[in-house]
Amino acid sequence: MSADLFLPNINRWLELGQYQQIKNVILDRAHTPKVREHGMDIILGVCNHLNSEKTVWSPEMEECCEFSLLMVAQLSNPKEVLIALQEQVAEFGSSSKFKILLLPFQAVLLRLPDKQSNILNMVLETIGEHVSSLPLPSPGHCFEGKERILLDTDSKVQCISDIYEALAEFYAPFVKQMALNRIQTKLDDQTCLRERRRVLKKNLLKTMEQPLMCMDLHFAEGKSPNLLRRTAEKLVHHLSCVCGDFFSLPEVVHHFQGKHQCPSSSAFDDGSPPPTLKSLGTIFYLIYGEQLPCVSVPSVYSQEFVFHTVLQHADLLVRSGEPLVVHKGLLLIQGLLKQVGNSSLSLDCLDHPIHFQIFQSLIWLAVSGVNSREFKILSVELWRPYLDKLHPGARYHLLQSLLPTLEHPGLRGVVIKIIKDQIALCLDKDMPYFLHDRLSACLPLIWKLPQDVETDLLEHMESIMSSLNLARFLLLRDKLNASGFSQQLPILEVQFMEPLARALNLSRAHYELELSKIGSGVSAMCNVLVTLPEMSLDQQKSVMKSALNSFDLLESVLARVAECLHSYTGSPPT
Amino acid sequence: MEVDQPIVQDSTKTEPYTPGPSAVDLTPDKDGGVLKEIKQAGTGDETPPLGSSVNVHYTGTLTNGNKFDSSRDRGEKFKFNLGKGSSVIKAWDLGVATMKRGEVAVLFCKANYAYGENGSPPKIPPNATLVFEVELFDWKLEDLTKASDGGILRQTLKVGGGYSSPNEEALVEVSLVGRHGDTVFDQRELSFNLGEGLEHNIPDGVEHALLKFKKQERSLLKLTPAYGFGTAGNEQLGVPPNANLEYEVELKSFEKAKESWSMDAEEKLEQAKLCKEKGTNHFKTAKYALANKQYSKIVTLLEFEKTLKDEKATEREQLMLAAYLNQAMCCLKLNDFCATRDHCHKALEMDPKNEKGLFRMGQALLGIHEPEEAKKHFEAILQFDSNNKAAANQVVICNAKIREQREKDKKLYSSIFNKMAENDRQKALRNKAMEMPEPTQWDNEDSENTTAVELKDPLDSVPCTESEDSEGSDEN
Repeated sequence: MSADLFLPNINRWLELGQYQQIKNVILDRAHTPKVREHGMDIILGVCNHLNSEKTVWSPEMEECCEFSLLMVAQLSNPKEVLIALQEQVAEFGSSSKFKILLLPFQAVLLRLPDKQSNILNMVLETIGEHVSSLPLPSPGHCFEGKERILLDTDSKVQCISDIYEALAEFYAPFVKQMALNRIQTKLDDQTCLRERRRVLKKNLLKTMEQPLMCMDLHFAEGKSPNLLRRTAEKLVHHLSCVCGDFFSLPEVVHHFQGKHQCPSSSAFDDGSPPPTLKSLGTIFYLIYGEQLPCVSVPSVYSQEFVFHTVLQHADLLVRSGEPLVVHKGLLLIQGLLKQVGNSSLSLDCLDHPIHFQIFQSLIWLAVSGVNSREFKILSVELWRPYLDKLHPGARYHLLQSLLPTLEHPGLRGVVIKIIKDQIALCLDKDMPYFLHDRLSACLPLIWKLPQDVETDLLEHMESIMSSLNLARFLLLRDKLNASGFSQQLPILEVQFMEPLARALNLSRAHYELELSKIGSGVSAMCNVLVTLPEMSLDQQKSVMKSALNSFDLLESVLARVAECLHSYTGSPPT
Repeated sequence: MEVDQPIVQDSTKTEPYTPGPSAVDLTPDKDGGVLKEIKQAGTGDETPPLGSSVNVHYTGTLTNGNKFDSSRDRGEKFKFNLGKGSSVIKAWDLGVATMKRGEVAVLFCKANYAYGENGSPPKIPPNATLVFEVELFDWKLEDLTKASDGGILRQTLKVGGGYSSPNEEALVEVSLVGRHGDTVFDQRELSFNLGEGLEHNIPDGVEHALLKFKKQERSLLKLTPAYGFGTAGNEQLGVPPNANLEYEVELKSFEKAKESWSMDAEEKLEQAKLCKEKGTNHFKTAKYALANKQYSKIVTLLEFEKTLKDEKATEREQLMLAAYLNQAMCCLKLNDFCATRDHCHKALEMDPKNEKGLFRMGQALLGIHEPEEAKKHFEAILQFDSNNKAAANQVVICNAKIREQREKDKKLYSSIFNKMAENDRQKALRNKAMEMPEPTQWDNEDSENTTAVELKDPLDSVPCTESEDSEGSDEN
């Protein structure tokens, strides 16, 4: 074949789809000088072909293109190839094209001398940028339960999986070159190695953020992990090869971020934004939330240290508000709680602001954070095991500060129930933490109606029920007044039971009236139902009736408490 | 960090260890919970001081000889802060503190000094006794700066109690001795609010360090000038410019300022009002940085506090607006124009017609040399208040600046155009001389036509971008 025909032929075969021809020609040793010489043209030709809308994609085509680029990357001037490829990656292109470019990129990078960590950084950043811009499947949507399994079939998720798989492969040889525990030789340039490790750390951390952290990486026991999960594990492994202690990473991240703020420092650092602490959240999620074994977690750190450190990252995940990220945060907290023994966190530990923060986050999640029933339930379920880890004194302190700030009636109900169990525990084990003065400080907050007689009883049903139950429990369990609760009995009567009885009468009368109105066909636009969606007369009727049933229930419990109170004090029930 | 050492062969099983006769009990109660046996003596008499950051290699095994963790396998030394009582297991705090440089020792740790009855799943079973072989390399004093620049070094003399440290604004009671070289320049017992230290001649570095003190802690702090009294020194105390300082500080007690999460909405509002008052007092006495701190606290307190209703909600709005405007004013005084601009931006988001906001925005924009943008803001004021003389004056200033800028541009461009004209002329001459009139031909020297570069073959474009760069830098 004459020299002038080499390129036109390749381009023509590309167009005609005669891929085998191209491979034969390029592989032919006789043509090696030509491949070397026309490397840039081949790259351009192949990439144009990949960019073209007319191109029909087939495995054969992909293989041929990748092969051609790989040969060029191995034969031509590495710097020129690098620039040409860099240009192609930076250009907006399909992810399939991106994937084809990765291996040639790797080949050419491996040909460059080790010193050039800035080039490595540049390439990794360009690749990272493409990865982080991959589209997510319906962002903000709450994928609940089985929906998450179906996510694997989403084309966007598959695309992300594929790219990540290729990405992990891409990193592998560099990580191997620079692993901390490789056999070291006298020839090693330590500064250069350190710099290259830094580059790897930074870019690997970034791969842990978008889009990976927004993917479902959870897998239930007994099932095989999906591709993305396996890839994530690989990436964590890569990171552990260049970073011995993951607990040093927060500092590393701060360091990167600090550098980013003053662009004058290092010439090559001012490209893309630095990794954030969220990346660590993903890593710790895999280690503590999903029990991924990892050598980079030294078994020397104390349990409290691990708990407090990792909890902060969990908090960041929960606060992100992105459903699948929130899910990771919750699972991480759940996993972390298994790391520490019951009552093992001392009273002092409440000085650490994370405990209040995490409760604030969990409350936010349960009340308004994410529109997902599953997550709300999960977040409230964490309360009890979490409190169990604390010293009983700390439990009291935490609950006592939560009580007055909680406005959500459901959550108030939960807290009051927990307090009741703690009182029971203290009475059983003769511990002082929830009794006497401490109890006296709590009870007035529990035994009260938020808006006195005008309280919406339906809305506050749960909290009122819990308060009544607590009263009944104390009256029956603590006949000897070991807890010192009896001083608060006047408050129970005046501040809680009496207004409640009146509120019940009012509400009942109101609802009965409305019900009779509906029955007689009078306007259904009654005050109570203003906020409810439009519904038929029958539905309205049943709502009214169930409300009345709830009142009955409340009343019977109230009557029971009054009875207990009567037998406790010996005075007649009011 | 990394050393030239061949890595230890990855054997997961070693001989089970039992402490020999020379093992020493290190526990304060002598309950045999931590036994240390020296395998190889270290050099010197020094042991790492409390709080210092130490470098070790270690291999941890269970009593049956199974290895669960080793820093040597990872190839990186393990680094931690000694004696803080919280970051590593108790046995290590006790054990490593007794080691000397270069010493290799075996620590035999009972579960209650390690991971207790829970263990550390999956590696360490419940109630496990652990055996660590530890080699201590070296240590450094603890660095308290955010930037890790060694500006504040702490050597703990007495460990404090509890987890708690003062927060910003906390009232602290300290006793301190300040030294510069051999001279003692300060020896006091005082209480002050963190964040207001400068008023009491307490340098930044000490305040910053106090945030990390525990109650009753006594430590030696070594400050570089940047964290001390800087290039100015301190006349009152007799500290010369650029002095390295040493402070011995004991935190006797402190009262934490209430954290914003523990306040309800109304408390936050009250607190914010207090901040405003404090800020204004600082402002009047020209302490702009302190004033700014107070105003920014208003923002942190109220920014996300959206549960207030009716009057309280408007009160919040007003406080927020005032906070942004006052912060802008402080930053303006401190010549931080970018920050001023950002604060004004926030203020104008809340109230687009706010005169103070517009005016300060204009001043900030003038500060960062954007006279045209600045002019727009001043003119906006004149639109609803045509009598505002200050704004009118500023518009005049803006116009002058704009004119000045234009003159500059004019000069710049005219010199560029002259150069280009000269280039063209020479090229024409050359072409004539060579009799090769090819206007589409593109050559290296003529790089003003950048689009031509992209149209060209990428192979050729490689050298051309280089030449372009070099030309670009010539002009600068």
